[in-house]
Amino acid sequence: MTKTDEKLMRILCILNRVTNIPVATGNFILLLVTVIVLIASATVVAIQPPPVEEFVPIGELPEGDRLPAAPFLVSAYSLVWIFAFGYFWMLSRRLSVVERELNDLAKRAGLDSETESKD
Amino acid sequence: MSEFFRVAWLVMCKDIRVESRSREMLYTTTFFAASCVLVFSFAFVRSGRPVVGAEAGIIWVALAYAGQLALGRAFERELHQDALRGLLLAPVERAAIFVGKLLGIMLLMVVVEAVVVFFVSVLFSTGFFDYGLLFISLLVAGTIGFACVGALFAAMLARSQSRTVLLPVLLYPITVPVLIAGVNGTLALIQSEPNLDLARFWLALIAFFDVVFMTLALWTFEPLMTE
Amino acid sequence: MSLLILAAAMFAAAPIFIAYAPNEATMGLVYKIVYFHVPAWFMMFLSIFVCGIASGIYLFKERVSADRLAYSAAEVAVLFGAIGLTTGPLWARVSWGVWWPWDVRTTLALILEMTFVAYLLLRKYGGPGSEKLSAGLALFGMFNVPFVYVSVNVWRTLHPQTTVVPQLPSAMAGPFWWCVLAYLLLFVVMISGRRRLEEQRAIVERLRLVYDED
Repeated sequence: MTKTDEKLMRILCILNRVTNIPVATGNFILLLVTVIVLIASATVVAIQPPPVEEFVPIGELPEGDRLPAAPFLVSAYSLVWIFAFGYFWMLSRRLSVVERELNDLAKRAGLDSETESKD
Repeated sequence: MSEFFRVAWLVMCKDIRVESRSREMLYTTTFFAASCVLVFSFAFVRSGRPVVGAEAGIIWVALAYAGQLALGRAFERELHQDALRGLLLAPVERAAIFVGKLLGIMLLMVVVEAVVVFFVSVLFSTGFFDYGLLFISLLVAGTIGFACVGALFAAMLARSQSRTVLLPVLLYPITVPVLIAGVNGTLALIQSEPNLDLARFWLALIAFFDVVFMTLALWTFEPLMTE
Repeated sequence: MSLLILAAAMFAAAPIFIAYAPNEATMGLVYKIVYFHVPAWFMMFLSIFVCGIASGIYLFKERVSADRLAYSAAEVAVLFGAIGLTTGPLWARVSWGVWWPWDVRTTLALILEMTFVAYLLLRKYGGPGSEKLSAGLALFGMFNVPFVYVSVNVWRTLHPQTTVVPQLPSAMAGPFWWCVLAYLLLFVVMISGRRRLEEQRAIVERLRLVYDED
C-alpha cells in the first residue's frame, strides 16, 4: 500500500469506530464530496446577488394577467414524485432481471457440480 | 522535449502527405461548410437583409459542423489496416501523436475557415477585417479549443460503434463556451459600434479555455488510448 | 434492505412537504416550487462532481468500483437535472410569463444535462471500451462548468431578457434545508441502489464468462 492509501485507511478506520460507516473508499469519497458541496452550496445561497429587476414582479401585475399558481405548483410536486418513484421502479425492475440471471447461473453451477461429482 | 515536437511534426507531415494525394477531406469539408453557410443564409435572411448579427453565428456554426465532420474522417482513416494500432505501438510519447494529429486537423480547419469567412463576407458584405488581428486571433483560438477537444473525442471514439453520431453528441456540449465566445466576440467586432474591450474579453476566455482543455487532453490521452 | 431505505426516504420526504405548506410565501404561492427546484439542482451538481471525480480515479487509478460509481452518479445527475429542468419552466411560466428565462443557471443546467445524457448514450451504444471514453467525457464535463457559467453569464447580460435572481428570505430557510436533506437522502438511496445493480451485473458477467467457456 502506498503512503496515501495507508493514511486513507487510518482515517476510514477512525471514522468507522466513531460513526459506524463501513470502511469502503467509495463511501468515504461520497461522504467527503457531499460535505464539500453542502458547504459550498450553503455559502452560494448565503451570498446571493441583488435581484436584477427587468421583469415585473408578480405582485405588481394586474389581476387579469396572473396565471393561477396552484396547478403549476401541484404539477411540479407530482412531477418530482413521478420522477423519483419512476426511477426506483426502473431500478427494481432491472435488479430483478439481473437477480433472475444470477439464480439461473447458480442453478447451472449446482447442476454442473452434481454431474461432475457423479463422474 | 525536442523529440516530442519532432514526433508531432512527423505525424502532421504524414497526415498532410496522405491528404495531398487525394485531397478528399479538403474538398468535401470545404464544400460542406459552404453549403452550411448557404442553408443558414436561407434561415436568417429576411427580405434580402440578414438578421442582425447572423453572420457571426453562421460562420461559427458552419465551422463547428464542418470541423466535426473533418475530425471524424481524420480518425476513420487510421482504421484502415490497423494504422491506429501501429501508431500507438510506436515507441514514442502518445501525447506527441495526439499533438501531431491535432496540428493536421487544425491546418485543415484553418483552410476551411478562410473559405467560409470569404464566402460570408461576400454574401453579406460584412467588414470582418476592420479589426483583422483580433478577428483572426478569435478564429485561431476558437479553432484550437474546438480541435483539441474534438481530436481527443474523435481519437477515443475511432474504434467504437456508432462513432459518427456519438462524436457530435459528445463534442457540442463541451465546446459550448468556445462557440458562445466566438460568436459574441465576432459580433462585438462587426456590430455598428464595435466593442473592442468585449471582443478582447471573449478572446481571453477562449484562450483560457484552450490552455485548460489542452492540458486536460494531453493528460488524459494516454489513459484513454490504452485499449 | 433497499426497500427499508426507500421507506425511510419516503418518510423523510413526505412530512416536510406538509410541514412547509402552512408557511405563506411572500412572493406568491408559486414561489414554493423553489423548494423542489433548488435542492434538485444541488443534487445534480453533487452528482456531477461525484461522477467527475470518480471518472478521474477510474482513468488514472483503474479502479473498477470508481467506474461503477461514476455510471451511477451520471444516471442520477440526469434524473435530478430532469426534475430541475421540468420544475424550473413551471415556475418561470407563472412568475415571469416565459417558459424558458435564459438565465445563467437554467442554461448551465441544460448544457450539463446534455453532457451527461451524452455520457449515458456513450455508455449504452459505444460498444466495448466505452467505460474509459465516458470517464474522459465526465472529466471534461466537470472542468467545463466554470467556462460555461462565465460565458453564459456574460452573454446573457448583453441581452435584456434577464430574470430576477431569487433571494432566499431567512423565514423560509428551515423548510428549505429540510428539503435539501430529503433530497440528499434520496440521492444516497438512488446511488447506492444503482451501484448495487452495476455490481450484480458485473458478477453475472463474470459468471457467464466462466460458464460459457464450458
